[in-house]
Amino acid sequence: MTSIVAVSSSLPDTIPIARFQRELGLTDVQLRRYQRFYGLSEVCRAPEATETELLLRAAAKLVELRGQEQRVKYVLQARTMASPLPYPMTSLGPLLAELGLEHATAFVVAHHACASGLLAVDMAGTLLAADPDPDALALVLTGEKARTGKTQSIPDVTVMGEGTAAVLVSADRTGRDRMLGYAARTHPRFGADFIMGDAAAKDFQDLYGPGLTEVIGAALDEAGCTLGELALVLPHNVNRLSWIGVCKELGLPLERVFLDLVPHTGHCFCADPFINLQHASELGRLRPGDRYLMTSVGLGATFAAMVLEH
Amino acid sequence: MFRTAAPVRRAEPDGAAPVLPRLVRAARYAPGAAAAPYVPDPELEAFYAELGAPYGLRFDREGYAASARRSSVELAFGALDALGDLDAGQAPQLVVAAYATPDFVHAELVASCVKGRLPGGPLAFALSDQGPLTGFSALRVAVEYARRRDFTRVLLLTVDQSTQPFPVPEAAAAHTDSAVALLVEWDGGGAPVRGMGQGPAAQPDTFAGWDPAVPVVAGARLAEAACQLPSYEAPVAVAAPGLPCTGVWTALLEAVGRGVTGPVVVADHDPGPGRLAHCTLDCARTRVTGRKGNTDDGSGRGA
Repeated sequence: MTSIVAVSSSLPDTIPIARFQRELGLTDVQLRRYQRFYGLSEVCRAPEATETELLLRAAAKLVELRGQEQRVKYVLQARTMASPLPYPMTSLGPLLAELGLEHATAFVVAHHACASGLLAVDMAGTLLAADPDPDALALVLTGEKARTGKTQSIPDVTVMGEGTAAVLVSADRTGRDRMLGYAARTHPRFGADFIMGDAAAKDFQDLYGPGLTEVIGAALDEAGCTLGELALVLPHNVNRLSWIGVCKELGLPLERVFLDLVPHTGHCFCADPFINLQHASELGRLRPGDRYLMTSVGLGATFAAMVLEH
Repeated sequence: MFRTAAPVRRAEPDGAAPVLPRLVRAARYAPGAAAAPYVPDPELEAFYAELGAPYGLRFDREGYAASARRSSVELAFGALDALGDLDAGQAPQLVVAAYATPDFVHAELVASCVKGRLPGGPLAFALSDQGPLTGFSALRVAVEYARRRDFTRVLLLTVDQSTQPFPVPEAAAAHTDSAVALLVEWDGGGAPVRGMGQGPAAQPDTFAGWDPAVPVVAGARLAEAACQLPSYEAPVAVAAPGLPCTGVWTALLEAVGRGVTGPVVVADHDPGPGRLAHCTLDCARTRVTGRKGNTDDGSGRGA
């Protein structure tokens, strides 16, 4: 059974989003809306750091990896942007060398956009369950650069942050967080609208609540668990307002959604649920035996949810 | 919708024979028509300039204008069309797009777009950033999902994109656009997969399951691997250079088109990290199909 052995995250320093107002093309009214209603006052950014460096910062904090490098058979980098680096640059080569993992099979998992992180955990579990070595591990890396104008924000939705997370996955059920169920649906009518125009954005907005509700329900079914049994929801940190709407649709109390980091991180691509897991655990918001749900939505457009037990 | 409980490590039944994935249909799309005249798009050029600036790279307008500028979605659709119609009973339950060379169009996702063209709403995603070995990892992942979820058909779509906004070192470049679609059947249920491996070329374990008696289709740089391969006979086909991700699969189609049948080992080597990957496909009933209407680049490989 797939389990998360350990998770670590790295959050760069925060910068008020007001400082990006011109880059983001926000009017004063829009800026106030982001701050007051979306709950996005700051984002974490490291302008000087490359994608590789950001991912290394998270992986370096994964103390459980040290001494276990030879057990790591797979390294999966989950990516929102399909091609953020000029070819043939890749973060994986330098990461493997730096982490002593050059023996591992390593590739990027993509095209579920920001939901690729949950897919990567499920895929890691799939590969590990089939591996002849029962002690084999996989490392999932998440988080990206918000470098260009088009990757700095999703207009009228969120501002991107550069937090990263590293997740050590096992097929052994004794890991700290056990996966119980996973669901994902890609809506292909958005496949050519990764950067959405007005009509696609409206369509996506209409789909958002029902799309999320559907995969959350399916993941709960697979886990044999009800919404009422969830101790916490670890969401993608797009904004606070959208979660108010989704909670109404689900009948879920808002206080059960871990939104503590939204004002400080912004939306950190695939990394949000894992950053939230690390922080919620550290804050004691999850007790042994608690069931919780991680969820993400990716442009293009994939909705995903995963139920785990702490 | 793809929905699942956690995967569970299966106890292998005593004596359960490993099973070969069966390649049932295969097609290549490699359009040779000239590129449309380039009409500069200031917004797109500004985006590329912004993308390359942190790495000291300038948008290569001349190279870009001279290149074919066919999106990876267009190439994948071409290969899918060449594969022929797939009704609900023939369509894959899983699609994995694999590429080394990224698409120059940043607003489209191949996996999502291809899913939209197939019946049954398959799970679809992409793997990348593993150079010539990406397709091997994609096949491995696809077969392991099939074993776990009782899928019987998976589609592997490898794509080489020759248009790049920045200069590309010759050794890594895709010289032409190419997409290969491989429809693979898996009737092994939870049985172990036979003849698939990947690892450092110098590590003997890498070759586990490689049957030396089976014909070999070699990637363009397999001969550079600093190791003794299990097969001593000459390969039945060798990939042409300049097709980092589709080359070895193109060579497989060529071999099957020439009558090579039964189990075939497909192997490639990435000299950068010194890694090698191989798989064995049962090609006894493979049908290599051609593109509807127009044919491909004229090499005969995909026809």
